[in-house]
Amino acid sequence: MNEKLECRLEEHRITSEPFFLPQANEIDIGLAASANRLPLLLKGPTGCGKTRFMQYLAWRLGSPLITVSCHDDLSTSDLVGRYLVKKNEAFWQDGPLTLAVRAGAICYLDEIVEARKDTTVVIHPLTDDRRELPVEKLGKLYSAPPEFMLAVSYNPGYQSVLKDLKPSTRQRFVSLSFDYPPAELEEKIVITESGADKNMAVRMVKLATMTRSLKESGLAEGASTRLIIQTVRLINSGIDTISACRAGMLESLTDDPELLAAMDEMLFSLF
Amino acid sequence: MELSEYKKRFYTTVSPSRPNSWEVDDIFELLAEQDEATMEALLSHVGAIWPVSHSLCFSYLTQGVKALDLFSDRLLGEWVREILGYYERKGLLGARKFMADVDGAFLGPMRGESGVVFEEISARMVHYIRGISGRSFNYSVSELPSTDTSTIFLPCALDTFPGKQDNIFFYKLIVSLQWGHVQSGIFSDVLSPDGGIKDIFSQYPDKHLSADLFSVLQFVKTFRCLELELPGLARRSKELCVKLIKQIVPNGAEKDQALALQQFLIHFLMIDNNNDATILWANNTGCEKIDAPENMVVLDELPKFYSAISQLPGSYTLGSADLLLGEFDFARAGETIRLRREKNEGNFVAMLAGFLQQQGAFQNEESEGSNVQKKLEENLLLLFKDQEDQKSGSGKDAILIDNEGIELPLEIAALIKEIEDDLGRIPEAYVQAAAGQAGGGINRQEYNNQEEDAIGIPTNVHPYDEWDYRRAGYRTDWCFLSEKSLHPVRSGFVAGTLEKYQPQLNKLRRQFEMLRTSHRFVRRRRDGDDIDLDALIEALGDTRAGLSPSDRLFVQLLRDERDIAAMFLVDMSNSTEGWVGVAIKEALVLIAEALEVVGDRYGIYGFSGMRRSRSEVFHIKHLDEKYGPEVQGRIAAIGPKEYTRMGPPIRHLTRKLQDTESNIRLLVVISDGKPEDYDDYKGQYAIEDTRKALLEARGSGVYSFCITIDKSAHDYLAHMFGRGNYIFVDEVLSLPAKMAEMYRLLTS
Repeated sequence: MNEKLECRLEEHRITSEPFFLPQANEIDIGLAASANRLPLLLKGPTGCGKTRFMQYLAWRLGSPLITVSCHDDLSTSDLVGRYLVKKNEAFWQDGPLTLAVRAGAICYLDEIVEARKDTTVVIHPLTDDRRELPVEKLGKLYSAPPEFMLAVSYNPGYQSVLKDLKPSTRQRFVSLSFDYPPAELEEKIVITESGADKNMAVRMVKLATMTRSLKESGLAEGASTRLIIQTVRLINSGIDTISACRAGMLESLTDDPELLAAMDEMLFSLF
Repeated sequence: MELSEYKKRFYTTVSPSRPNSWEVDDIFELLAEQDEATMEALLSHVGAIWPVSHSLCFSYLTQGVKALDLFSDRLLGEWVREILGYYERKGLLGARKFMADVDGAFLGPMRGESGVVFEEISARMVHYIRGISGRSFNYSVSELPSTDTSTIFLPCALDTFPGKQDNIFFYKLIVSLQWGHVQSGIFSDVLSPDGGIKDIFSQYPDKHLSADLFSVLQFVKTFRCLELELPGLARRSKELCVKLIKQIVPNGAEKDQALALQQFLIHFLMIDNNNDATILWANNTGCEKIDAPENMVVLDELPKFYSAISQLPGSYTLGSADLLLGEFDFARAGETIRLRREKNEGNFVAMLAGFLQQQGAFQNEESEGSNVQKKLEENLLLLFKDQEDQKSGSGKDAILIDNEGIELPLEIAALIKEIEDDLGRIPEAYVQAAAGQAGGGINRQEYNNQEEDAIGIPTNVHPYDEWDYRRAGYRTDWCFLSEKSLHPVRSGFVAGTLEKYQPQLNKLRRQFEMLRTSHRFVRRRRDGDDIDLDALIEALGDTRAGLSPSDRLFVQLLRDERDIAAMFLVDMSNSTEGWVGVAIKEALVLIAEALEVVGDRYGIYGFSGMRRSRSEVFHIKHLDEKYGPEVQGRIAAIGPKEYTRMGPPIRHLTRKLQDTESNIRLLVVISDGKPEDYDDYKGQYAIEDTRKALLEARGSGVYSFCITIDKSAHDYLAHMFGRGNYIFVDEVLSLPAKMAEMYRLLTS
């Protein structure tokens, strides 16, 4: 059984250093939280480096990282585990959370607010000083080893009353707020991740910043760092800059013709 | 047809109003010589214009005769639509101006002439300026481009270049230039410390020339800045700029001054690849070269430039180049800046004081009895941006309280950024004032807000557009809808209904109970939370028996919540008097009972009114209001009122539904026939407006369904409600049962 566990865990281990440029002291806080066995809450807009931060932290800690992307049908069994049938017998299959607790890995629940409200309650006993996971169906109570860490992320920008964390959940975490990095840092990230030259990176970041200021004009969210990198990669593959920006960035942001026209004007002002 | 016949037709079209006969006679005298087709065409639009404005209609008839000499009657509809558009935007005067200039204002753009009206692209420009500047600017109209740092003034139309795209692009350039001027800080530079404005042109003998030269230098500086900031814009605009600069022409024979200006401007536009102009310009003026114009201090450079240019013989006219250079109204800008700073200071002090008070309150609990103001002043440490930059390298939180960097609320942080952008740093006085106010305990901002709220239009009157199919456009803010509440009456109506429909009600309750969602286990699923033992045993048995076993071995817990918000809009017009009205009320009682069982959110509203200025919606039950004696009393109070203007109430409830957070939003309209109002809201017009309102609802994610009570089916129903979106109830007694049934079908 243990061998199997090891085997499944190895897939989640991060072997090479992921590229991550800290904006402030988030790495220190992450490491301190881990040392004190505290859970982490990452909040910030989409594509600003939350997941990458977790990867980096996992690499620094040398722990496997088990990521669960939450969706609105995610049930408790999906996290904890369930019985399955094989040949003539039923056997227990650990869910990602149980796996992480047993093996002392990092369990990262991405976009936690998307999951059903009752699901989040499962993590409560894991996030206070008890640090244990009761599995009712097995009648077992797993205690988390010191290396186990729980991290959740969410995007507070959706402004929907339905998509918010309950205070009882929220108040268990060490919170790290992520935002789009400052221009200079973002340029560095773009250059490293996509191989763009300095000039291109500066202009792409400028374009993304312009779209971000449209947020109050009806754009749900401005272009993320991820979108910039994606766009530069298109350009590197020989697509001309204008088409690449349209396909890789602007069209992905909205369908509203007026906003698209305005963003086109920005694009043509920059390139 | 005789003239008198046309006159008669005119009177019928405009009835019930009775225009002065002499006015009508005057106009028809003008029309006397027109042929039949022209008359027909002209009169066909009277119906659309008359209700909007009578004077406009008379002007239309007089101008229309002349207009039809210039274009064929096929274009008349388009012309009328534009007239009405102008009327709504610019009033009677604006519409008359448009009508008077048929060739320039109407036919020119039609022929594909290049001019572009700013309104066409204003929406795009609003987003554009927001994107490049990160803040919003207002737009306003003036002859020459200028700005007061919060509003950008632009000509209302541009036809400087032959191609439309070029003109649009030129607008964008002007907007960007004006933003660049604001960004360059020139408007703050001319402010003297005491709040007045330095008169920078008074020292020059020729003030006009000095102002122009200032514009030239400022343009050069801003353009170079734009070139660095927005390289694409600068690259594409160079050609257009050169064309405009060439329009600076000498007055009379002496050409030197005009040429020098031209060369100077072109030199800076082409600074990288054309040195001829530089040499020419330098030779002609004996001026020193300006190395990095983006960093030049315009006010320092101006005296040298002035003396160089003013000694040259001749004079010049700017021509269209003045659009490029714009004008600078420092007095206006100074006033705007002053007001903004005052406002920012007030807001900042009030917000920070409020915030500090909160913080102070926390601290007070710990160490009781201390003087808040004293404490705050002791502990408040102000870190200026430059100092702080050295410290941490980032420009966040400029204020430290108690030596701890407390995270400021976002709105304060945003305000701090704005003030820092403007003044460079937060003046210490602001923070002290805030600390003082926090100690004193008055939150001025709250104070102000209360005063502001008292002024303004009553909140329960809502303006709505109305669709006019004749002009294929909306009449802006045409109807005024007010929301009223119905006073509940005590009567035995609800109890009587419940008794009368007892058998149906029991059935309904059962049916609706089936819709109710609770957490339920579904057996035999391919995956799920637990193993379905029955299925597993069956499968094992099957395997033993040599049959292929089923793979559906799991139990799944399903929680498919009904997330439905429904609105019932009930016709309360005169015509529902009698048994129709009673049936509607009974239907409402039954549906309310049924919905209480299933637990959907629902609201009930009645509508009626008279004329466009008094459309009324009566509240019977709000969406999340509890169904009880109060609501029952209001249902019983439903009674016939006035007319059936359906568009505004549909739009009103659509807006209400849009504000709800439900997955499925349903609007059920219950009416007894054609929409109709006292004024011209009848027939085709009313049907088309209702149809449009329902289409709008659909477009905004509200599913609409209509229940019509009538003796016989009508063709217009399908057109008005859309095929499949309505039912028609001929036997009014069956309405209560049918309505509940329809609702069940719609939502399951």
